[in-house]
Amino acid sequence: MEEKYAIDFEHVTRIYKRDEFEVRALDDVTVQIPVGRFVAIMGPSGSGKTTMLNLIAGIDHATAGRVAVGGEEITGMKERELAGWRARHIGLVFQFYNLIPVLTAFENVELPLLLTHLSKAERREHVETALRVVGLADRMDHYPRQLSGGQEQRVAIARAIVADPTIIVADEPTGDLDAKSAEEILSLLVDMNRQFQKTIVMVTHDPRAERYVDTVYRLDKGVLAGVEPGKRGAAPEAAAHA
Amino acid sequence: MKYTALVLKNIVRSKRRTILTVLSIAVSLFIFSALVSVPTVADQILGNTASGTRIATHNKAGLAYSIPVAYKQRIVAIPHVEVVVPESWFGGVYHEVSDQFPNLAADPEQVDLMWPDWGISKEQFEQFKKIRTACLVGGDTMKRFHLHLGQQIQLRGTLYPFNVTLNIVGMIGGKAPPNFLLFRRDYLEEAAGRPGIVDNIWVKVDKPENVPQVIAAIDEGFANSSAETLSESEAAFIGNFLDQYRTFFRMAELLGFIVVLMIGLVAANTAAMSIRERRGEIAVMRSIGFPARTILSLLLAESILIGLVGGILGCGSAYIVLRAFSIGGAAGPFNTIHMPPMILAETLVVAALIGLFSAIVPASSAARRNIVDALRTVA
Amino acid sequence: MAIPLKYNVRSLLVRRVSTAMTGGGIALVVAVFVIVMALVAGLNSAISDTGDPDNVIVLRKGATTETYSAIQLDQFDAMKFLPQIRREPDGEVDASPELPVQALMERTGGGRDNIVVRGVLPIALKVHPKVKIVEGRMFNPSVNEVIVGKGLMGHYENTALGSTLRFGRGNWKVVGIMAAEGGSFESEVWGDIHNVQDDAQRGAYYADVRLKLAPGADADALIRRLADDPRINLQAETEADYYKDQAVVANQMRVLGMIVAVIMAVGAIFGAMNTMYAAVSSRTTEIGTLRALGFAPIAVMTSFLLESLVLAVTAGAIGIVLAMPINGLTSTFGNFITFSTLAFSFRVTFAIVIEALIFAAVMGMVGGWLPARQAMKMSIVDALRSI
Repeated sequence: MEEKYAIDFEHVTRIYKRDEFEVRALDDVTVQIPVGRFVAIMGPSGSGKTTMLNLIAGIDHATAGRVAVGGEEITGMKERELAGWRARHIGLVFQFYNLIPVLTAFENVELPLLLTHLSKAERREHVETALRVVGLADRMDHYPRQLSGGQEQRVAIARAIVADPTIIVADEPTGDLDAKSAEEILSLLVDMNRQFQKTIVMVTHDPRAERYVDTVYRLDKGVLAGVEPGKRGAAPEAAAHA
Repeated sequence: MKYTALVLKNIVRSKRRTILTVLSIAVSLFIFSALVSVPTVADQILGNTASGTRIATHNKAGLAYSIPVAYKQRIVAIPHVEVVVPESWFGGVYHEVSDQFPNLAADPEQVDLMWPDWGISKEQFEQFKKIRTACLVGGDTMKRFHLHLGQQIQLRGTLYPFNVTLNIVGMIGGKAPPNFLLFRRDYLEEAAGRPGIVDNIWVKVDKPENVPQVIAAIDEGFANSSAETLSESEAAFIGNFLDQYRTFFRMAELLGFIVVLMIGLVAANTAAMSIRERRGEIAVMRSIGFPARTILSLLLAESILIGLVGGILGCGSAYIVLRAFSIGGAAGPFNTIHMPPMILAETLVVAALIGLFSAIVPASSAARRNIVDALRTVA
Repeated sequence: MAIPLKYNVRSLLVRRVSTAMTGGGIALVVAVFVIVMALVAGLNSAISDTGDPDNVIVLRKGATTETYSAIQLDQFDAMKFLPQIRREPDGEVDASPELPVQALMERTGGGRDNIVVRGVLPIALKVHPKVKIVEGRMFNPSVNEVIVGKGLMGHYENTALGSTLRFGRGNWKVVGIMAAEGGSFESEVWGDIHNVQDDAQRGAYYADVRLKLAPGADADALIRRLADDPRINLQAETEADYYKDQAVVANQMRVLGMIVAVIMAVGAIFGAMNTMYAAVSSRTTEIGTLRALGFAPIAVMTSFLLESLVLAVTAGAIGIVLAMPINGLTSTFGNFITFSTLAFSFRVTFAIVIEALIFAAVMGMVGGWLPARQAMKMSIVDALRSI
C-alpha cells in the first residue's frame, strides 16, 4: 500500500441478500485513487456507486477483497474500531443533508468534535471557523427547519470538515438542490479541495459535476467501466481493471 | 363483513406493536378487574347470606358485650318467631395465628331449621345434633387446609382458657359465608364452666314482612334491662360488619379508576402512532374511492378489536388467578375473592370503550383529512 | 464520547403528545405506588409506634392478641413484685393491668364502628410514657369518665372535650384528650378499669398486663420467670415484638400494594416500549447519521436508554407530586385481627419518594432496553437508506 493513494480497492466484491435474492452490488473492483484529488463516481441507478462510497466511508463491509483508505487497511476492522476511525478520518456529506433536526446548526457541526478530546472552548473555535468557511457564521443558532436546502447542505459540509478529516465523502450532495444552490455547493467543495488539500470523493449523477472534478470513475452494474479526466483535467495515475 | 380481512391484515402488519398494545391492555385490565372485584365481595356475602327472615340479636353495646342465654325463652314467646338459636364466638386458632378463620358455637337443636340453605344433608345435621364434639366447616376452609369429613381437628382457645377437639361431620356450602366453622355450644358451655351468656341470638321469623315487628318486640322487651339488645336483620348485621373495610374498598375502587386512566393514555398513544404512520395509505384508499365513513369504521374496528382481545386476556387471567389463589392470612372474609360475571362484562365493555375512544380522534382526522395533503406524505 | 443529552431531551419535547401520554401513564403508576406505600407506612407506624422499647406485654398462654386473652387477679398479684419491674420513686410498681373491650360508637355521618375502650389504672400513663394528655385531665377513678385518643376526634360523635360519650351500657364524660405519637392508642378511649369491667360484665379479670422494665433489667429473664412460675404461668413478649406481629395486616397490604403497582408498571412499560420503538423507527436516519459520523454503537444504545430514563424519572417525579396531597390525610381502617378500628394517617416518607423514583427509573430502563438495543444493532447502510 503506497501512501499516495487516498483510496485503494483490491478485488473488492460486495454481495448482499434481499430476502432470497442475492445482489452483487460491486463485482471484483480494483482501483486506486490518489491523494488530494476531487473525484466523482458516476453511473446509472443500481451501478454500485453508493455501495462503493459506503465501503470507502467504512459504513459497510466488503464481502471479498481489501479496502485501504488513507493508507490504512479497514477491511477487517470491527465496528467499534471503525466508528473511531470514521470519526478521525472521514467527513460525510449526504444527499438529504441528514442534519439532526433538534440540534442547531452550531450543535450539528459540533457533533464530530464530541468524539475528540477537545475542550469546550476549543470545540467552539473549530465550529465557528468551519461555519465561517462555508459562509454561515450568522446562522449558527438556527435549526435546520429554519434554513434553506442549500444552507442546510453547507452546514453539513461544515460538519464534514470540522474535525479535519483525511477524506471527504459526499453522496449525491446536489441531488436535492436547485441549480443555483447546486453550483454553490460544488464551488464550495472545490474550495475545500484547493484550499485545504482535502481528498474529496463524490458520488453523483449530476452532469454539471464533471466540470468541477479532476477525475471521473464510471461504474456500471457493479463493475468499473471507465476512468476519465474531469473538466479540470489530470490523467488517472493507475491502470484500471475492467 | 367484507372488510374483516382488511382489519385483520392491518392488525398483524406491525406485529410487535400490536402485541405490545394488547399485552399492555391485558395486563392493566387484569389488575383492573381484580381490583373492582374486591368491593363486590361485600355484595356477594350479603347476597348469599342475607335471608329475608333471619334476625341477629346482640348486646346494644357491641359484640364484645354479651347477653344472657336466658333471653331465649322470652324471644321464643314473641309472635311470628319460629326458630331461636343462641350463638357465641370462640375465636380459636388452628395451627398458626395467620391461619385464622371465624369459628363459633351454637345450640344444635334447631340449626337445620335456622339455616336450611347451608347445603348440609339431613344425615349430617343429625350427626351434628347427636355427637357432642361435632362441627360443620365451610368449603373454602376445608379446601385451604385439606380437611375432609370425619377428620378430627383441634382449635386452640384464645378468648377461652381451653382448647376444643372437634370432629368434622359436614361441609358448609350453599349460600353461607364459605370459610367459617360451627360447633356445639353445649360443649363450649360445659368447658367454660356454664357462664350462661352468649354473644348473639339468631331468630328466624315466619315471613319477611314480619321482621321489623319482631325486631321491635325483642328490643323493647329488653330495654332498660342490664343487657339491652340491638336486633337487626341478617343483611344489616353483615352489612355493618363489612362496613369496617370501607377504606379498603374505596382504595380498591380508586386504584381501579386510575388503572383505567392509565391504559387509556397508553392505548391512545399507540393508536395515534399507528394511524399517523399509515396516513399515506389511508390517503391512497380514499383517493381510490373509499368513503371517509368506511375508513373511520375500519380504523375503529381495528382498535376496538385490539382492546377486546386485551380485555379478554386480562380479565380472563384475573378470573383464573382469583379462583386459584386465596389471599392467605387474616384477610377475614376476603380469603377468596370470586369475580362475579358482572365484572367480566364490565371489563370487556371498558376494553371496547378504550379501543373506541383511543382511536376516535386520530382516526376521524385521518379519515377526513384533505386527500391532496395526505397524498403528499406518501412521497 | 457520548451523544449529548440535549439531543434526547429535545427529541422528547418534539414529540410532545406521545411523550406526554407515555409519561402520563408512568406518572399514574408511580402515584399509585406512592399512595399505597403511604397507606402501608401510615398503618405500620400507627401500629408499630404504639410499643414502648422497655415494656413487656403479658398475655394468657396461647393468646395471640390482647383481645382474646384473660388474666386472673391472683396472677397479677403474683407478678407485681418481680425484681425486673421498674418502680416509681414513691415505690409504686410500673405494672399496668388492662382490659380492652370493643364497643360500638357512632360515626359522624352515620354508622357505627368497633372502637377499643381500654380499662386502665392511672399507672398506665407511667407505663406508656408516649401517651400524654394534651387537653383536659386524666379521668378520676371509679367514675364514668374517659379520655379520648385524638385520632378519633372528628370521626366519631361526642368525642370532644366535655361531651358525653355513649357506649357500652352507659354514658361517659370526656374529661381529657390524649395524644400518643401516632400510635394505636390514639384510636382508643381510656377509662377506669373497674368501670369498664362492670360495664362489660366481665367479672374481675384483666386481658393483659404491661410491665415496664427496670433500667438494666433482663427482659428474657422476666419473660422466663413469668412463664415458669406456677402461680403466674403466663406468656410475655416485648411490646416491640408484640406490635410487630400485630402489624401483619400492614405487611399484607404492602405485599398486595406492591403486586398491584408492579402489574400496573408492566402495563406502563409495554406502553413505553411501544413509544420508544416508534421513536427509534422514526429517527432511523438520525441514528444512521450518528453512527456514520463515528459514534460507537454502544453510545447510541446508551443515548436511547437515557432518553427513556429521562422520560420515566421525570414522569415519576410528577407522579410523586400528584400523590403528595395524600400525605397527612387521616383515615380509619378496620383491623381484622383486633376486630376494631384504627385511626392512621397516610405518610409519604423520604424513603418512599426515593423508592418511587427508583421504581420509575426501572420502568424506564426496562421499557427502553429492547428499543435501544435495536437502535444499536441497526446496520448503518440500511438506516441511511430509509428516508
